[in-house]
Amino acid sequence: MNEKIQAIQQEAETEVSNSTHRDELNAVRVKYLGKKGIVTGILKGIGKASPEEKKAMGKASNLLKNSIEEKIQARLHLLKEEELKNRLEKERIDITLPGNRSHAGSMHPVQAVMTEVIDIFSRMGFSVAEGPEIESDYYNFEALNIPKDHPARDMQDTFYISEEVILRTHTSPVQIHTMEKVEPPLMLIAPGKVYRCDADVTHSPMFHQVEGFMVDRQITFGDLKGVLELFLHNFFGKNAPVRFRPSFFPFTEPSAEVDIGCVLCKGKGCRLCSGTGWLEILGSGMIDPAVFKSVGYDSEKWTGFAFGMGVERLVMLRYYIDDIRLLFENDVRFLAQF
Amino acid sequence: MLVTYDWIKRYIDIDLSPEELAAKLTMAGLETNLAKAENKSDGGGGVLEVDITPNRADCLSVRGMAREIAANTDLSIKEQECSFAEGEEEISSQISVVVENSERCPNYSARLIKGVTIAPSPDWLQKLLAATGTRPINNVVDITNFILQDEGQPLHAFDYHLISGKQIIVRNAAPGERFTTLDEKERILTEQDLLIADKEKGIALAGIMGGLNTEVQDSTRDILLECAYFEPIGVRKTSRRLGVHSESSHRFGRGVDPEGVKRALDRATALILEFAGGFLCKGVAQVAAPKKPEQVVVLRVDRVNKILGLELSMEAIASILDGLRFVYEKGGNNLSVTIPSYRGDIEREVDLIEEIARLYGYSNIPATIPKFQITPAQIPERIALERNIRSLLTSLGLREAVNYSFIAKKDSFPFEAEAGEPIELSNPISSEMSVMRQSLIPGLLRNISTNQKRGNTSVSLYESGKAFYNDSQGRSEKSLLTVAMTPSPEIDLWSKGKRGFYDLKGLAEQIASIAGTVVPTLNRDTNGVLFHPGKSAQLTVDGKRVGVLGELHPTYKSHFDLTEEALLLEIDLDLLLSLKKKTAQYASLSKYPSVTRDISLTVDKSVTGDELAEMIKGVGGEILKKVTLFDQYEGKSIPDGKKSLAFSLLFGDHTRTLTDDELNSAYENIFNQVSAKTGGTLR
Repeated sequence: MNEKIQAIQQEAETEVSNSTHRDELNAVRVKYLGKKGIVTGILKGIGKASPEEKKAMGKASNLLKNSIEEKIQARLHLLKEEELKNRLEKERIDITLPGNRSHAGSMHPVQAVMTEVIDIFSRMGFSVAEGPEIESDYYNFEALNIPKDHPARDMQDTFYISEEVILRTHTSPVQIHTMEKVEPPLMLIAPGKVYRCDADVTHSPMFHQVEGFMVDRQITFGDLKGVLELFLHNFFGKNAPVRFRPSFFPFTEPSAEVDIGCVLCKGKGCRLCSGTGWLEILGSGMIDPAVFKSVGYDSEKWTGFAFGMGVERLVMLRYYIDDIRLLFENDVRFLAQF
Repeated sequence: MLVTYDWIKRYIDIDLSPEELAAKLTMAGLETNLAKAENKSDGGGGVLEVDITPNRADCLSVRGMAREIAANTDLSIKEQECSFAEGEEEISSQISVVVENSERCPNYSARLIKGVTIAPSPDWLQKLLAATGTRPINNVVDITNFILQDEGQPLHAFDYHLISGKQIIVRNAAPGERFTTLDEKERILTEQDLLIADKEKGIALAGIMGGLNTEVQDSTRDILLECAYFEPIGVRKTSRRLGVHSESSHRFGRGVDPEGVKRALDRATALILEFAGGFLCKGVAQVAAPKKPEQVVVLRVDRVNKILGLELSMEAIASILDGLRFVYEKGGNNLSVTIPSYRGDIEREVDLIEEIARLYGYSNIPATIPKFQITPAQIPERIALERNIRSLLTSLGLREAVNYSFIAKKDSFPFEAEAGEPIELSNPISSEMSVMRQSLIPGLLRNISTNQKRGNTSVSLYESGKAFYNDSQGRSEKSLLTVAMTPSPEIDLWSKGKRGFYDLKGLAEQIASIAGTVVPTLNRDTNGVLFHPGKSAQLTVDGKRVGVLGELHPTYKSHFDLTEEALLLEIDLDLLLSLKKKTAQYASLSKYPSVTRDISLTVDKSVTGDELAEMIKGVGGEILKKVTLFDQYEGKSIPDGKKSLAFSLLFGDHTRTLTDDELNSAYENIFNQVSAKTGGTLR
């Protein structure tokens, strides 16, 4: 009897390990453990044996049954794993093929840089004010301490609509409008389009500026330096060298021009910085008392600083654009680069 | 202004190299670069190109530059030699001066040198002048040019014999008076122009340019040497009006040193006698107003420190004033500073504070962060809206353009019927940019045209900017948002086929949604000339016209030089922002399932999608929750003059699951009523 059981065990195990997939394995199970299976058959033949034989046979055939079952389960597990493995291999794709994406457009670089500048200042607490692009001679010049016939007017060639109505040459008039309406303290920037009668590789009859000012009881020249350095480091990077040098604007006194180390040659001197190693970025200064007078602020009580920059200049420096006119041609091949 | 390193050395013993000098001057406020060495005659030290700001007229001379260098380096200025002997003949017997307009000319002086020999100047002088770009002419003229650059005081030499009546008259020109300047151009003057004249004729345009009629020639023997102070504004006005600019007008126009006239006259006289020989008449022919009292400005130590953010002592400030050679008196915590005549730019305390800052060194002033009250920064709503629209359009594949605010008159025409005459510039930079735009459309259409000429056939652009109008109250400005695109998309764009009206409509709806308003209604009334009447619409919200959209009218295709149709959308952002916003409010979700049924109706072409949808909504009852048009079909199986519209109908109830019977009867009811009204059939 025992040899018989052993023989069946061997046979079953062989057939199980030879099964290559589930259907086969199932057939093997049915063959041995099914209703009409071999092991079931042994149990059926028990009836004719003696009680000791019955007990022994019953025990042996149960052991056999369990062993075969185990083997089948193990093989099933293995087969399942292999199936999964094969499936995964088959489904493998070439990941280097192009991705499906919806083609994106672009923001104009001037708007993008303008947004960045506005955001740097508004994060510091500067509010944003806007004003008309068509202005009066008074708000654009006289209120800013630039009387008629003053040589300083030569610094800004103006577009005239009539003798007293012009296209603004800077966004400073917005500051006058604001100061006339609001009491200090104030922290404001005025971004927008400005117009000057000038056209060449670095000058355009229309361009964008961001000007700003800060007025309070104790604002100093040191504060001007601090705030503008903060802006420049945010825009050009923490390590950009910054220098302030004296200059002249009719609406500030003392006045300063602010340079950063040349982005191209890093200070060694090149064509971009005309060999000086520095690039002029901002004009600034302490607000001239004459300007406070125009708006009715007491310059003994209040002090402040003002500053301004050309956005196109920042754009051209950041992207190494050599001709300002490209910014207004709107060739899509140019726009697509940003 | 050009000045040579060697010329400066005549005044001051600088030990700095030209590069170091240029750097030092730049940091003192006079931006200086080494000019390219074009001629080797500069003496070796190089030519400096100095950018002098309008307020520093005192630096328009080598003396002025030397003073500035002395202030920044602690070196001292060398006295310039000047000695000469006067002859016996009294000048008063030879010439007299009458000044009719003493406001414009508070000081006129002249010396008479007889018996000179006109010849080339000595080599060293010729080289000095050539290095700064001044052409050497003859000894007398060169000396006047030399003193002009050296002292900053212009002089003029007349041929004495060509002066009539032994008299100089400084007067206003007569209206229409003609005068020929040295450059051989005839000028027509007005009474605004100041003239140096003799008894018969004008002989010099005061402060600007001498006359051809009294020019010093090779044969000239007697020189009348003029040295005067001319009031700046008058000189500038005449110079600008006539378009005559000279080194002389530049300096008088910015203001010369009123106390510098005598020294300049004396030095020029000495040099003429030295190089051209001759003998000097005794005395000076002069009419001068009494010397103005010196200007004294009070400088408060506290104020200096308050403005600059420093803690300078009075001694420290005084020592800076010493460097500038300014004289002062101490009193309390103030300094009363006497302003030298050559510093016309210093009139107030704050001007002195700038000098203190400048010479202390801007780089020595510590940078600080101001204390300020925390207030949330306010940003105009329109800017936030523009940014959101920008994100939307950019992600949909459009590219942002920025165009000039001025356009050609011929491109303004299509907008004039509605908007009126555009604002014109009186001094445009070109005829292509002579009027202010009333819409952003022309600029964008020109962009499309330029792109197409360069081979970029598919163009999708948007622009956000202002348009300008003449209106009853004067002039006004509006913020507009405009989209312009060709029907052909760039490759890979979001809609694969050609774009058309419905894409513009979709954009307009998305933009309105970003602005928070309800969906705009469309109607055909564009009342403009610009659009294809069948493929355009006006956008209205709350009864206000917020925009227009559609295809460009075919007649404009060639005007704007386009190879394809153009699709346009223009929205008034200011108006859009002013409208009432939709507010979101939560509505509970139904726990019961909803059911979707489609219905396709074949109707006459004249029935619009909106009409039919409204009809369906009207008869659908409470359980019909939503009607969505998803297809329009005109084709093989549809009879002529008809079209098929397909709708998706969403049925549901908040309180229960709908029964099949209910759904069926609702559906049938919809169909029956709609077909009765329109004669439509099920497809």
